[in-house]
Amino acid sequence: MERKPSAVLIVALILWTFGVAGTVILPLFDQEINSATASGELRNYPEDSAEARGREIYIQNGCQTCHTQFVRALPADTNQNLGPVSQGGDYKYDLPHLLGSNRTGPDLMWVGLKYNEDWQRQHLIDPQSTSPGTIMPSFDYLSDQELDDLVAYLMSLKPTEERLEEYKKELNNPNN
Amino acid sequence: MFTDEKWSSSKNWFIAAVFWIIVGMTMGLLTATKQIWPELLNNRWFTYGHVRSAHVMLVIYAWLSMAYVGSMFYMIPKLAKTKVYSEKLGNFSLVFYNIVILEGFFALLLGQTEVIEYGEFPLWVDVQLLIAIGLVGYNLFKTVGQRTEKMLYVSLWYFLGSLLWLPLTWIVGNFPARWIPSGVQQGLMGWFLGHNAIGLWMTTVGVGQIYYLLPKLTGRPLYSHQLSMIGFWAIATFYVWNGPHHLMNGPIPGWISKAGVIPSIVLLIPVWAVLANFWGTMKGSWAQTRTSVPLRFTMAGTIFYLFACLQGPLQALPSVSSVIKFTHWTVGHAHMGPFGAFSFTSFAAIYYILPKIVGREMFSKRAMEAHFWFSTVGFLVFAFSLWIAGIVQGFAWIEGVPFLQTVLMMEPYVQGRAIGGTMMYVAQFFLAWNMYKTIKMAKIEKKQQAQQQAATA
Amino acid sequence: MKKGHEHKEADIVSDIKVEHNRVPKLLVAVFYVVAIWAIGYAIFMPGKLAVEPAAAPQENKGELIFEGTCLSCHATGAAPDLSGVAERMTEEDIKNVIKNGRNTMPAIGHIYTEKEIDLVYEYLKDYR
Repeated sequence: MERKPSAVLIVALILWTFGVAGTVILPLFDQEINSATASGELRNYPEDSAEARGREIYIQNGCQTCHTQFVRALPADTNQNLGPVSQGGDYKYDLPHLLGSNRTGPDLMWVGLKYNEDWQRQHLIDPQSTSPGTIMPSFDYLSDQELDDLVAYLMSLKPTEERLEEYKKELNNPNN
Repeated sequence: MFTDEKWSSSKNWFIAAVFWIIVGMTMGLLTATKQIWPELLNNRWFTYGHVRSAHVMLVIYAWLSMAYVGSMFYMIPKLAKTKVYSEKLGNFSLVFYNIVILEGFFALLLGQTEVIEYGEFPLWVDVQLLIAIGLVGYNLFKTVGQRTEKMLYVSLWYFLGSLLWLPLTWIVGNFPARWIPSGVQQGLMGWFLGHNAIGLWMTTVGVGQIYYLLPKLTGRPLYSHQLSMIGFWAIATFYVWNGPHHLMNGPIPGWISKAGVIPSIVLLIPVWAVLANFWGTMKGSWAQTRTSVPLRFTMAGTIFYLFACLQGPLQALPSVSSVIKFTHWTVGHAHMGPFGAFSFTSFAAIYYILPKIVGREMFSKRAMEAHFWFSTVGFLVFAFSLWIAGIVQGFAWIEGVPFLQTVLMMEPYVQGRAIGGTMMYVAQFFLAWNMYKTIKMAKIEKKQQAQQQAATA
Repeated sequence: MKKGHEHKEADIVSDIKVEHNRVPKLLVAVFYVVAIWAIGYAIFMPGKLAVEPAAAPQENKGELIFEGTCLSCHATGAAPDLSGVAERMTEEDIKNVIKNGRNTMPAIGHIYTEKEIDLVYEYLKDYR
């Protein structure tokens, strides 16, 4: 082995393949993350709808670098009122995925529940006017059309009524 | 058109690398500053998201990767006791690689992103970058193929492995995802790239560099062959599995999470084996770090590597992750490996190799000292600001403090980060200036020598 | 294991001397601990933490919601000041506005539970 580069390479390749099989290939067959939930279906936007265009604008402007869409069953998330815990199936149509990795700004998984269109628009154009002291930059350079689309996308980030009811029932459960 | 001069590939890759560390860190500093003054340079091209993505991609695939290739174009032929298979091809691939990076940089500023972290370049750039990496790999594999030394020194195992893993990992992370109809699936593929660009490229080439530099810089024998074996094969076995821990406690089934968490912690085995080997080799030589800046950079690198790899497994525990995930802590951690550990070893490699190539000492020892101290102190200020910030932020979220207030609480730490970052940034100008002077002086001296010879003849 | 001097001779690879020191015992112990931990973890631990959504509400939940949500408009001039609002409006009206919105104010009832809205009202009663 210490004399044969090809041997090193072959074993290195085999070990790498195991890792791919375990963490990339096998999950392809897991039903839990491959079948859409009802709330996941809501994110299956028709092509060229305002929401679909807005989603593109969200990506192009790098919103995902500061905002996650990823609610965990943990105190950090539940105490921030982030809404129902997200499930694999919620992301079935979230392509490319916008899970994110850093909360410089708050989580946006269900942000459609929290504000109305006017607030969202105002907040994008002049963040300081709605959230004084925020470090979000303004997106006043977007055109009116782009802002409309982006707001439409943000407002669409909601769970179904049933999911929300279920969530609130759990919250009101006196055992918790 | 492309020169065939001995060691020219190595030298030119280093020069390009240092150019890109300046550009990449300019983007980084701009990111940090935008968190203090969000309206600074805020427009369609330089909006926060674009600048941050450009920073990440440039420091990894432009600066660090080019510095790695530069050192491999020197270390591999040296270890194989042969010359580079084709210096011409090496120089051609450098020009090609730089064009691709430039394309990727503009693509990101234009808002074209694949969203995959550590793989944000759009598809048309990904394909070209893969070809460029392939050319480098081909050249270096061929170099190993024509070796005259029968045994493969441990650095060579790492280099060979890395040159195989990087293109493969790049393919898995960037290409199939678009045909996979499920967001979480894509997330797993993306994080396979995200973590293995670090684990099977940045870590492994960096460790290979250290294995080469330590015996050369100290003149001492490598401590233990057995530890080298354990370290290499354990990292090759376990690192590949690390991706899923990035989606921990999230929308993935428990078994996938476990498949990511366990190998993350088992990584303690290769890390400690490798470090025991380094420090065993260093026994009795620590005093040399006082005078030798390259050795000091190398050893500081190993210490930061130790801390990065104590944090890493700890962060992979679901309970720890539940506090610090998504906070500033992660950003501090994400800088320790690439900057604190492996940029440091690359600096050491440049300071060791460049004088050998140009045939003259580094121009200024004081600039090297300044480079070291600004980098180290700057990084410590930077990193501790972020770690403290992350812990405060994590517990504030758990307490249910309103989000906007947690943002306001972060102000002093974010400022501390920018101050540390500025020091790290300034440090690199000492490197660039020193390199420029060294190469220039070497040229002048060579000319003078030639003139003298002509005069005496 | 035999003691001491029976080291294999050092090899020379690419002009670099490579010794054959044994793996330190402490390190071997660490390897075993990590390996045993890994097996134990794989068998006994759950894959992810499962915390019940929203553990017991904190005492100051009303204040937190008020500051985090309401004040982002009501302290910035974007919406009326709420000092002493409980004297100007009935409990029912206030809760109604919170739940259903009014004019430019969005409805936020659906993100909070009855209990939480009660807590916000309790806080508003003494808000000056």
